[in-house]
Amino acid sequence: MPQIEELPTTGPSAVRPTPGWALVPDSNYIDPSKAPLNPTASIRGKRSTRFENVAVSGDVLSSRKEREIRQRLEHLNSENRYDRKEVAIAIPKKAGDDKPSKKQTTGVRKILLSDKAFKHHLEDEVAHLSKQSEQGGSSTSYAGPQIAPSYAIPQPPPPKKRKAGPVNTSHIKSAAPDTVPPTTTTNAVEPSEFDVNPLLATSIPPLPSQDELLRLITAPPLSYNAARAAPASHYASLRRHFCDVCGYWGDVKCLKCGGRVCSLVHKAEHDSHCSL
Amino acid sequence: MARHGKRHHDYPSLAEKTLIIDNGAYNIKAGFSTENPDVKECQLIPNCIAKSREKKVYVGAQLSKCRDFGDMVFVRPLEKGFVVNWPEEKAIWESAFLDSTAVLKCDPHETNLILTEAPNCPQTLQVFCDQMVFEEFEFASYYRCVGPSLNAYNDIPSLFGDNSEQPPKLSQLPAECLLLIDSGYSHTTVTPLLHGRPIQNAVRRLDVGGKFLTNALKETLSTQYYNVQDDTIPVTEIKESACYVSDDFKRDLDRTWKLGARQRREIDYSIVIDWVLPDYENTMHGYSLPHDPKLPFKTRTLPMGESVLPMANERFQIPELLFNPSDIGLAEGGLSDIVMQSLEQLPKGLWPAMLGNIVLVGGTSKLKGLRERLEAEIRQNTPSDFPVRVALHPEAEKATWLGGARMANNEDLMKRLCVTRQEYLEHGHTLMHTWTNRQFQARANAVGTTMLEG
Ligand SMILES: [Zn+2]
Ligand SMILES: [Zn+2]
Repeated sequence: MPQIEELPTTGPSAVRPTPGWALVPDSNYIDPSKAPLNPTASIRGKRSTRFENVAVSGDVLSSRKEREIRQRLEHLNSENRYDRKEVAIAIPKKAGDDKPSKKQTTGVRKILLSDKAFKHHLEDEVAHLSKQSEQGGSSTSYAGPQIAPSYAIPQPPPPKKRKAGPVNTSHIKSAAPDTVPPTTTTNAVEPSEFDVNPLLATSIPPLPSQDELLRLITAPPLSYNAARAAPASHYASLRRHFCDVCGYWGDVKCLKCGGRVCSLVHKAEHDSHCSL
Repeated sequence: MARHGKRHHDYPSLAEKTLIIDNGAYNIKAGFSTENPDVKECQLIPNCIAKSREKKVYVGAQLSKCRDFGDMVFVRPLEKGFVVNWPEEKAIWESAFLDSTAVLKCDPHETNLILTEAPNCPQTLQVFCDQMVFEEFEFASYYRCVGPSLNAYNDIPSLFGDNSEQPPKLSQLPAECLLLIDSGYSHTTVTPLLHGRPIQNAVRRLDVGGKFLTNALKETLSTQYYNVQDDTIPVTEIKESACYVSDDFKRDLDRTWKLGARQRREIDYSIVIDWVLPDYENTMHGYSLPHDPKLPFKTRTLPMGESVLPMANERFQIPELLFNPSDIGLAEGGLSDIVMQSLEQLPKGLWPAMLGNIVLVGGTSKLKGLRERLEAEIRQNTPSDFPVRVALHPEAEKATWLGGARMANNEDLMKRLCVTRQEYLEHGHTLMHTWTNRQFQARANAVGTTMLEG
């Protein structure tokens, strides 16, 4: 990432950090105010030592910024910029098509009267699953495990237990060879330099047993929350910041509001309407 | 029951006609099955109710009669990809399938229905859906499944240029191994499929889709130029025509550093375009012009009165959010990260077959450069001797529908999967109305097991 020497020099004062501004040295810097909004943030965010070199004063700013980001993400996921209640559009009555309206069942009436939003259904699901797991979590639970396995830190799949008895996996290759890239039909195991890293290891393990495959395709679906993408493992080191004015790298940080700009030119523009 | 022993031969007969509805949050993709399914039979029906600035209300397909999309307000029955508001969905379905003027008019009593849903749907919403289909619409029989799974019935080998001489026969379907990425309006999902069955533990969802990107573009344009928050359709057009996924984000960002009014800096004008917004009097659609470097980098007005927005880094910074959602503070992995997160749930032995058969569908997957960037990133993350192949379905938006239409031709399979209205009336209310939902699961599992056993 370009360093601060990219800054234009419009005079000696321009290269010196102005009070209230920090030149952010490098891309590995983590801005606590923009820390991830993941569910565990509140647990580990505060005590994390990565955030020690923070110049911005305290929790007020960070929680304000966090709220800002959350609101922004909600906005980006919304339909119009209005609240749904505000934009209720009356469904027009159909002209001409009037067949005697069918008698509705109790179930249908209930569904049509429901004013639950998705988040309410999601809360219901979460509550249902936690009740289920309290009761000893039956394995037939439809909604599946609430916590996705192997989260956050990528792990190689656990070693597969081989079932005793005849293991017939040949059909995987033979039944529809066209769907499998040619190289996979040879089960050659060639060691390579990637072997040290389990993620990059190339020794292709044998195809899973039929029982294993059966288990894979008959497992119940995960819950909505469990299927959500985890942050990338390199999330922290890749967090990038951009100029609030022009979208270029945001290497300069406003100490008042935590906003970012690319240069002193855009700092001036930011200052004219800094939110603090 | 006495018939227990010969249960497998006891499948009920189905109606002759099958309606396939891929019920997307943005567009419904729907049409009847035919002997040789073709995307030409698939209708795109906006899954929304819209109100124009003249306060005229359009329901679903009626939107095609609208000539002015400025300041349009939309409500959509789907939220996060799932039907939540049934009064709205009912109105849209009725206008599309039941009314005398409906584009796909049918009598549900004589029609089988294949209906898609997004993966990981809360069960209450599934139960609502089943009740509406049988108790309100009264379809003769019905199969509900996750949209991605229908893609296993498409001609996957031809997407990779394999065995062009003969497409797979019905008996060779579904495709055996497929890693299906569906990037739609509400989100992007990764679903590994084995014999057409989703490997549920490995399904992953990134909460970035077309809507998110359009809104992010609205936000950027509104900050830099003027308020376009209510111009969803014109901004969607900009996204679809002018935005692209960069193959080298850093390089492109460095090339387009504008620096503002006071500092002149040479930027790469090949990236900059001028976008001409439609005025809905003379023009219905926006279009781009090459940017004249002599002109100032700001909005201007053409002689006919159309507004022009210059666009530089916005063009690739918005789609970049699919690959780096953390750029905007969203704590989820990007597209290639979720592919890896999904693969990590699978035995290594399946990796080569999955990595070699990655297929992109859904409207958002059509973003220029997306396929190439994804393929490059996955290649970087996986052992070099695992061949990585990513194909974009040429009919990305209708691919799921097409798969469903092809599946509908397999009568035997349909009989095994569909729940009939008769069965519903008999059992539907049991198990707190979850009977139908459990049947879909159990029947699909049984079919998957048969396929696995060859
Ligand atoms: Zn800037
Ligand atoms: Zn500030």
